[in-house]
Amino acid sequence: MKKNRGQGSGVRGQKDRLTSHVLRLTVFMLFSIYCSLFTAFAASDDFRQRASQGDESFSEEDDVKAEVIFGRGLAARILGKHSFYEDEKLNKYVNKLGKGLAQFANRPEIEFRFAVLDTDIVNAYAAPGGYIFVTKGALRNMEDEAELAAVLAHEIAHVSERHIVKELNIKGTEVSPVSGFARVLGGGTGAVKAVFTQMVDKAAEILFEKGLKKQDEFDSDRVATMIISTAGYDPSALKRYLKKISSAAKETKTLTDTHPSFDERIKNVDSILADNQLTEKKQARVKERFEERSRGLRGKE
Amino acid sequence: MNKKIFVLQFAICTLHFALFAFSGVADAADLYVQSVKAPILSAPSLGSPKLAEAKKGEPLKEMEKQGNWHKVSYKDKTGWVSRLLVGQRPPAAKVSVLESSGEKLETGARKRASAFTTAAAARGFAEERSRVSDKYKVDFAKVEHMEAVKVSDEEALAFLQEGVGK
Repeated sequence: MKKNRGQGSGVRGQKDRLTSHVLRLTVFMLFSIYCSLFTAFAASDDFRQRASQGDESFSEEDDVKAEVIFGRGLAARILGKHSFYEDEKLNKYVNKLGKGLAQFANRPEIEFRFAVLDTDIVNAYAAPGGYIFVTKGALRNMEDEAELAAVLAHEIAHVSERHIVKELNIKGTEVSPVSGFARVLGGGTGAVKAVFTQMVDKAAEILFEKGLKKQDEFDSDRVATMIISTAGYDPSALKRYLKKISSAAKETKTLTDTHPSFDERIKNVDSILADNQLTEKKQARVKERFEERSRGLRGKE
Repeated sequence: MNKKIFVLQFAICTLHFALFAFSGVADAADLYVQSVKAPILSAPSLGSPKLAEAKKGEPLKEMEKQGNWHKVSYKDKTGWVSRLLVGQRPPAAKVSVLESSGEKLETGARKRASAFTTAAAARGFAEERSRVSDKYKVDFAKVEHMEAVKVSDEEALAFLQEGVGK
């Protein structure tokens, strides 16, 4: 009997060991599946991230920081060349309108800022990182808020489409020609700092002398039309403004030196309006508010 | 005892697996609205009738891409959204280099110079704000003046909408 009991407990022991092995194996298999799935998911996520870096890498925080710091340097050069137009009411107006329009672009991480420059030159400038300027000369040629919105939206588009950023390959990462940009900002060597200064000077040359690529200007006109029409302004406002200043050829010489000809731009805007069925679309022009806020400017003519 | 441990391990694995599968589903959106609002249109053209309006941060499922337009499904609607209003990641918070780090290159150099005058001057850091570029006059004080103008996104949007009558 003792022997049999001994045999019985031996069988139970074997069963327990078998159950234990099966359970161990099951857990091991589940763990393996889990690990392989995790790796697969992680890899696909990493791949997606890398694949998107081609056109999306600038939304990385370091790249945006580099863009803003670069833009500050360029804004400092624009403001070294031109003074502010001192009109608190007009300045606040341009900032409210500009910041409202910027929310219809795809760069929510950028803090857009606006200023009016005290010069009769008819122009507007955008520095990376959201620093936007419009001249007193340009404002005097505008008839309503929709036209001002169109000019500001054109500049917002240069920022949202990262035209200068792409042209000069500004990044916060080590792969940038301005290598270690973010590190530089924490205290770089004199040599690295000199590279930064040269790069910003190059951007200033683009704004003041050479101009951006023709295609960048056409793209900004397209984005501007999208921004103003989505915001509720007259989609033809940019065309109206371009037509008006094209006749003031002498005053607008600087603009034609750095931008495609007015004829080319008007033709491009015409095709944007036609492609989007906006040629005949009537939306707000907001004349009264514009005239009221820019009265000071006109009084000083 | 062993059984209890295995059952516990099994439960943990199952739970992890379930959580992982769920996070995969939650991450299914292809595009996120970056602008304050994005009209979903019946055709890839700005003048087309509006089917719906997605708000900033809302996910959209991409079905097709055509030039500057994405065909997307949003709630129970299928329509077109401009690529200029969307992005592949949820909208990011505003990036500030002014408050977060104080890492201003050209002005930062001047500030460091005041703390370590001799060493900094030897490394060429003691430049005046107006002499950082040989080619252009540089005025960071005016940039700071420009940055001091505060208008919130909400205030600006309300102002714009009041103007266009929306």
